[in-house]
Amino acid sequence: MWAIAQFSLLKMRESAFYLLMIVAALICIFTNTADPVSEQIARGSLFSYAFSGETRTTSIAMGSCVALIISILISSFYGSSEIPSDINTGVILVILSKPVGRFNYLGGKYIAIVVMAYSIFVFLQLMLFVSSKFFGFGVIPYNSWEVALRQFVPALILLPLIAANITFSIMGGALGAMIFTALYLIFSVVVAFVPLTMAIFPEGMIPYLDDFLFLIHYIFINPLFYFHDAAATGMPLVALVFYSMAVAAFFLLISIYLLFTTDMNAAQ
Amino acid sequence: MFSSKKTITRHKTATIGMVVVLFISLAVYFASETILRHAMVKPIKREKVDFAKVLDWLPQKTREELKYRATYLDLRQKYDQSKTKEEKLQNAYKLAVHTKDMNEHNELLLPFINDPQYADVPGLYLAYGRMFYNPKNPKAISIKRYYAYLDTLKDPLELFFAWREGRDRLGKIGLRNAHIVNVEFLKPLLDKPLSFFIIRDYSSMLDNIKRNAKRISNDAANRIANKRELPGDKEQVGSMMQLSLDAEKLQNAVNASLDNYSINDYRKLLTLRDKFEKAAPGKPKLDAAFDLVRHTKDPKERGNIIKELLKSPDYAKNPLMLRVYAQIAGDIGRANAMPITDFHKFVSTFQDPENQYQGFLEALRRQNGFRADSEKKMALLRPLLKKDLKDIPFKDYQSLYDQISRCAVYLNDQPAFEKSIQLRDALKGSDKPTLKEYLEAKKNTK
Repeated sequence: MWAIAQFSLLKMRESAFYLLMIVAALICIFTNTADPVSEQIARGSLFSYAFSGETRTTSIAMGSCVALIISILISSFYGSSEIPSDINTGVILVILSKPVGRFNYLGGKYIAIVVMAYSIFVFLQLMLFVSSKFFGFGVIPYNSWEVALRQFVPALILLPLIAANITFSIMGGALGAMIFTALYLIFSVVVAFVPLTMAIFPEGMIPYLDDFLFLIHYIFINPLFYFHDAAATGMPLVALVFYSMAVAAFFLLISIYLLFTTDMNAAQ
Repeated sequence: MFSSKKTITRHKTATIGMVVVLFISLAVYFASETILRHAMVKPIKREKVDFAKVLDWLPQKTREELKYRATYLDLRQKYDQSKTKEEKLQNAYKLAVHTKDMNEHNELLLPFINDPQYADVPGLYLAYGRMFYNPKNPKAISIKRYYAYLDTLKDPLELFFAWREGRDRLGKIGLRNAHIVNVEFLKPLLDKPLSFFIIRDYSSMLDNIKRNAKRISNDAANRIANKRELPGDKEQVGSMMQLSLDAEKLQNAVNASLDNYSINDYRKLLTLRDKFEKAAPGKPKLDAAFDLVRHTKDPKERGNIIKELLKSPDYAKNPLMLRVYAQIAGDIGRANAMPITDFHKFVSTFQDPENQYQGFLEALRRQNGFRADSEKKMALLRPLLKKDLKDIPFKDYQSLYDQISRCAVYLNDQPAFEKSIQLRDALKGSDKPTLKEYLEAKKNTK
């Protein structure tokens, strides 16, 4: 599994990748001068309920959000093409003809993309830390472990999102995966507001539809969990880790099922 | 891109493993999702949510509609969940104010008006006020029916609120002849005795009559002058002007009265009465009595409280009772007041000169609080003129004799003036102790 992952990670050695990282770091550092996410939203608005809990906790820096978006974008581009290109070029048949099972193949690919995505995120966070600590950039000073760790909580969303991206790539190819992932993420953000609005508004606000919408919301990841202050510590944080793993496992199961049931020869 | 042709897996173990992982991941998913969702919505307190702010990102029309619906559902839910009669009335009123449906509005409020079980519910005036007079509402109640309701009210505060609600409602329903209806509605207030106006804020209603009646009179006079006279205008010029003058006279009397309260003062009075009723015997009872007798404006109530307390020999001997009794000093010359001589007698029952002195001092403080005139002060302090120098225990009496001398000058009472000056100067030159020294000496003797 690790050999597959290493094989995939070789792409990170390309000089274009390093250049991309430098540009990404600069974007993150400059956007970090903006107010934190929670301060960008009007108090009492729907979005303030989406981010803030009862108690004031450490805010998520704007630079961290940009770092997360960059990580999602790069991992999506990379993850969307990884398996389809193996299938199209027949490399997958060569690999699977060796003593490597489909589980190991998929696991290796998943680990490779996760490692890459987190490497990008950690690198960008490191840049933010250095720019804040030594050059005074950014609104939120990275002066405690609490602040630093808070920036990493939203990055947990990479686990299920990469798994979903891989599933879509097996189902719809590289381009399809990018489109499906983007659409899935957009719908997830929209649907994530369903439980929130149901808590804010009285029962029966949308007659007959609220139960249906509530059922629908289970199909999508809830990105708000990753940004909400309530999930930053304690039991909800543990639940968030398990939630991410469960969604990732669910998508990987679909992927493995697809790998088992797809005729690789027909793809060539 | 891919063939739909499927290969069938024969790996049984893999299938079972996948199913197991699927169930575990589903279980973990639902459990963790529930925890996270609850953590996210837990801080939301619906009663504090401002629907307008939450929906501010929507277009105005949609926002208004959704805000209306959200508020409606919220109020409906509160109404449906109401347990007590008061709660039900309050929530029905709020919902009726909010709803745009006139039938629903009437269905919400009419049961409170028609059902006798709600007749004694505080705040019923809200339902009556809301259903009052509106010409656009076919089920609105008439002024006559409203008066019948007013006649059933015993609580002065509730009665005042009912009058005010009626008046305010007439001003809100957009009548063209609002000033005429206003006078028509408020006119019976002019037939009430001064004692009816226990709440001072009736003054604003009398002011309404004064101004509106004058306006009606002036309008009629203008019509006559411009040769556009209507039937009855000639009578109205005089009758409405008279009404305006009557209202002004009554308003002045209400404003000058010492017997009425502001709304907050009346509420405080009710609280103090309740506190007095429930106070534990001893010091708490006397403290509660002190607060009540100080606050009430009714000399009769003050007297009754004192008489009730004096029935207990313990209270009659308690120096704290002097503080309570001294409050009648402000009632001199008022109807139903306790005679000040009773207070003098009560003071003399105390053997300790300190208590006697404190009694007079407290009574004088009470009079000063009312800016009492010299006659009343003299009535309080005159017994002190009967004392000889040897009977006066300490120098602090100087200030009381000084007060008597000043009152005597105003009242042109030569003997009282001479005696008070004589005692004051004698005290000044004497070697008598001050109250502080007297108390210290008393303490050392013990």
